[in-house]
Amino acid sequence: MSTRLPTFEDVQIKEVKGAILDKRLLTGGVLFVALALYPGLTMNAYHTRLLAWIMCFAIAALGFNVVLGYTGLLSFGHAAFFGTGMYTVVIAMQSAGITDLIVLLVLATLMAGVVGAIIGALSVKTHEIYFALLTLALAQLLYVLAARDVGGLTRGTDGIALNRPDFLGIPIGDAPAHIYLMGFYYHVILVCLFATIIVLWIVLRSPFGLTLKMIRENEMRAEMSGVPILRYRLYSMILSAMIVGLGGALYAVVVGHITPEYLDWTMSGEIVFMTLLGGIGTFLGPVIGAGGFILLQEVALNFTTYWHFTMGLVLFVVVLTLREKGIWGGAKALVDRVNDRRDDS
Amino acid sequence: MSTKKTESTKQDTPTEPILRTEDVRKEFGNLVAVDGVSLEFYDDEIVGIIGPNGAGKTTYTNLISGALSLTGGRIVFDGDDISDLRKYKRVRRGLVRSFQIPQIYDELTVFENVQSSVISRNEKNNRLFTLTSRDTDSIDETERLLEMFNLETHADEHTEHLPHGVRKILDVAMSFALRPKLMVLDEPTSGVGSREKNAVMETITDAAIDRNIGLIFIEHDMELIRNYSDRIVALHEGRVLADDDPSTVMNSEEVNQFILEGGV
Repeated sequence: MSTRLPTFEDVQIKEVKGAILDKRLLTGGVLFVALALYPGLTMNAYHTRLLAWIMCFAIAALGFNVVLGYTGLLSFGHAAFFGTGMYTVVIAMQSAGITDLIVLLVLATLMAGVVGAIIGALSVKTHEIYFALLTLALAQLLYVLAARDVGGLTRGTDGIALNRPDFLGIPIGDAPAHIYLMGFYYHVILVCLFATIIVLWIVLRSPFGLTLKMIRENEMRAEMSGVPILRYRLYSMILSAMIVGLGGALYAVVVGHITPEYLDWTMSGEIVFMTLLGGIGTFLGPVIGAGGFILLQEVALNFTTYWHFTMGLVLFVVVLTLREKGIWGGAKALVDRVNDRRDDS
Repeated sequence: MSTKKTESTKQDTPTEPILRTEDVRKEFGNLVAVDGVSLEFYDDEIVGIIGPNGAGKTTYTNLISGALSLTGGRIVFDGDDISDLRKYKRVRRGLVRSFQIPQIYDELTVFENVQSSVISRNEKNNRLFTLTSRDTDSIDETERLLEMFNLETHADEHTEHLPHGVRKILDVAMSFALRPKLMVLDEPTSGVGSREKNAVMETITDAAIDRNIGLIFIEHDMELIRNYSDRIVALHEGRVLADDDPSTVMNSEEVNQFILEGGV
């Protein structure tokens, strides 16, 4: 039982680590304030909308990476969770008369979790390509149900227009669209994004997060260490689905019109694309990927109608050169290398 | 009085075996891989299993760990029938196996590799909102284990680039972190350089004796078998050919005919 006393080195390491954490918190805080002030300072509705859009997808991509980056499962069915989040908001408003934003967001997150549990329960026994195809097929099933208007809730391919939700009983939903977004809703999304980042940061460094990494790294070993791996893969799917559902629910209000397209496999593809672009092997990569994807799309659309080609080319180059590090991991590696060189000289 | 009596009987007749397989069978279609093996293992002995390729050694250990299901027979571990128990539940009861090729987590550090086993043994995998880096209980235990297996210097390294011998030891350390009652090792020294073989075996057996863990190991290296086993089981074509102390088994005519000369 040797409980060794902390040596000078340990203390130093702890201090350095504390400083890094502080630096991270500081950067995060500054970024949060800057983003929060942006709409008010610039009064640029187009940029605000773009940022709101990016942040919704950043949340979705972060959630998706729980399954891909941390559990090692490639799901092609995450549109189901994103779309469930969106449809829950609009159906709860239209059919159940719920107008409070917080209630709607909680409801959407839970519903996405339920759909995640069902799709997860049916697919976690399979691996790799089979898992990808099974999740894809199950998600397409939801798409067809929504497109065919089964049950009369979704109004088929026409979709449903959405009113702006109220907040804590205050009927701010009546405010004009750009004021609603710039003065209120944008900030809700911002808070949700930072809350998601903080919660995920903790969860992925918890024993639960370590268990997911065990499964990703070596399933057989994890099982032989006494981990019920199927159960934990299911948990991973549910957690992931809930976060993606939250992203979808937030996005529903931004677009204001929900169609079955958001349940379609191309939507899943976009979430996979963003995550790959930013880097599945990194924690914040998905956020960068969502930003990169949406900005690139905006820029490419200005120059050419063949924007899909441009996107494909970028992803091809990023994946080929940076692999699982993506843009974010690549940038971090570059910064490290520059710092090393500076230390040497 | 009475306590003395039980103590003396304990010495005379061995205690309950930790593991007992009763007429265990495994068929793959027409092929009978394990053909009615009945054996007993105790938590204070080291048993070597030998046999030519295809004798059913690995299949037998897979039946014990639950990787394969039984065609017939029964497995009793620590007093309970575990024949139908899932793999991870057997592990949680203290029946742990290791593999020929080290099974470790490459993208995690050596420390995290061992800590993950400690956390799994405590069944704390479902803790969502505590940081592993602040979990002092598992950190202390992990540090002790790393020290015990001389892995402290590698603690913060990722395991990808570790030498093979160190990977083996890490694999064993991870298994010990599960606090097994019985460990089944499939060729613990395969792929390890001949000079290192004894060191690896010594680390394993010392730790097992120290913690009162029963060991079963499959090995092709007859010298290792002779040096480290308290008892040897010889399998041939899915059946038990011999089950006795090392010298008796090694000198048995049948064993020599089927196994030793067979050029394993």
